[in-house]
Amino acid sequence: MTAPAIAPADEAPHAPGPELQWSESCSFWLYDASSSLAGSLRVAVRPNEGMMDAGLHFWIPDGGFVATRHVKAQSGNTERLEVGDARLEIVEPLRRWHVLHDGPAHSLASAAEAGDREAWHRSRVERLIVDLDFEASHAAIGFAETGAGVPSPREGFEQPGTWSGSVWVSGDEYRVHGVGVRERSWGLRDWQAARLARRFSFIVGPDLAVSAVRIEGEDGVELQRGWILRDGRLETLRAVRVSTALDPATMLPQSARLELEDAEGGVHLVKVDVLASAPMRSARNRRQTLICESLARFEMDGRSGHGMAEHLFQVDGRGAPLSPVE
Amino acid sequence: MPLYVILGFDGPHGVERRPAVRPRHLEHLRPLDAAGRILVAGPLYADDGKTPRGSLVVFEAADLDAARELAARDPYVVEGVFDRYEVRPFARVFPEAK
Repeated sequence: MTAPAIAPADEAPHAPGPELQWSESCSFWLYDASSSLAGSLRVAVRPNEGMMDAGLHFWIPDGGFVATRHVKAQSGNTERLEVGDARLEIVEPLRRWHVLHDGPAHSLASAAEAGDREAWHRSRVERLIVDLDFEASHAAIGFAETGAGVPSPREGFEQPGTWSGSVWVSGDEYRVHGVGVRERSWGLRDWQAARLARRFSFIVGPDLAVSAVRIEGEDGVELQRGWILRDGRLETLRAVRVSTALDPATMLPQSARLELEDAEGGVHLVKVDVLASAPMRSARNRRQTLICESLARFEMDGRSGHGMAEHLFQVDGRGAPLSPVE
Repeated sequence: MPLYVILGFDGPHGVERRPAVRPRHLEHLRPLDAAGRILVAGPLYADDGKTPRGSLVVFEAADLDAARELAARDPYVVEGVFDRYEVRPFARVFPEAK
């Protein structure tokens, strides 16, 4: 059965499901090779929780990490993606977006400090101004067309593209000419239900971009999906296998090795070196979850590129993973 | 027992890594060979006939999953000699049985 194509109407808000943790989110990552500036930007609407939130994270070239989060009350889904000082605007559906922010943000000495509550308390508060344009370089790639046929409680799509504009942190301007990937997704997202989740998204060059996701529940693999976009041709993945090495000192992801099995059975090997990992904690239903959002360098086909690696662990009270790390 | 082929393609560090990894690669395949389950195996070369570019192994396995498992554990895969590989069911046509 052929998956339905993503249409411009999918840029509009979708009807919420009944689950408390139903959400619709728009997220982006960016990397500028000329300055090494990287960022991730996200707005999520959580109509059944009566709220929406926005998070902006920047990996600054000097090794610092700048982050801000905004929350506001919201009843029902909405196409107005504005929370606090952050705003996402659709300029042209499935083609161009404008990302804006002007407000305070916490400046940490490193991404690793994101997991240290005290570090947030003693952080400097900077003015973060973001004025960025994203232009998709490929048609939307729907989740439904890139998996192994396993139903997912969440629908959505991704698009690689290019960034232009500026980011200012307390007067330091970074002119951005970068690359990145955007995602829009809707449905149930229950991070506490996953035993582990791994997500990798990277761009090696204008001719090669990759996305890969693996989620495991308590009963085994729940979801494997992704794609390799090579020379404008889309190869979908039917299996995503991940092995991760943690830094023994910090217990944060240090490197990973991916085996991406395409629909034809070819296995593509990818080496992942984490450059800076930001550990974010969330707690719900008495479970503590650690999501490490990392700027990473990827090697594939004898070339290297940059992108984002996400590792989700369920952890105990001391922050140690409850399940063995693969 | 059905036949399968592993086609491995060297990554950019394949040439430099092969000599060190080769003994472990051979050890990995030796039990299969001792059991008489390898039809043919060896390196693939560049046009110069000297520079390794990959490997080919034709072998017997219980099923496709077992064949994939053998490939995934190969030191050439695990230690970064290959950057891509394929595992395919294979049928022998020649040499014809006399």
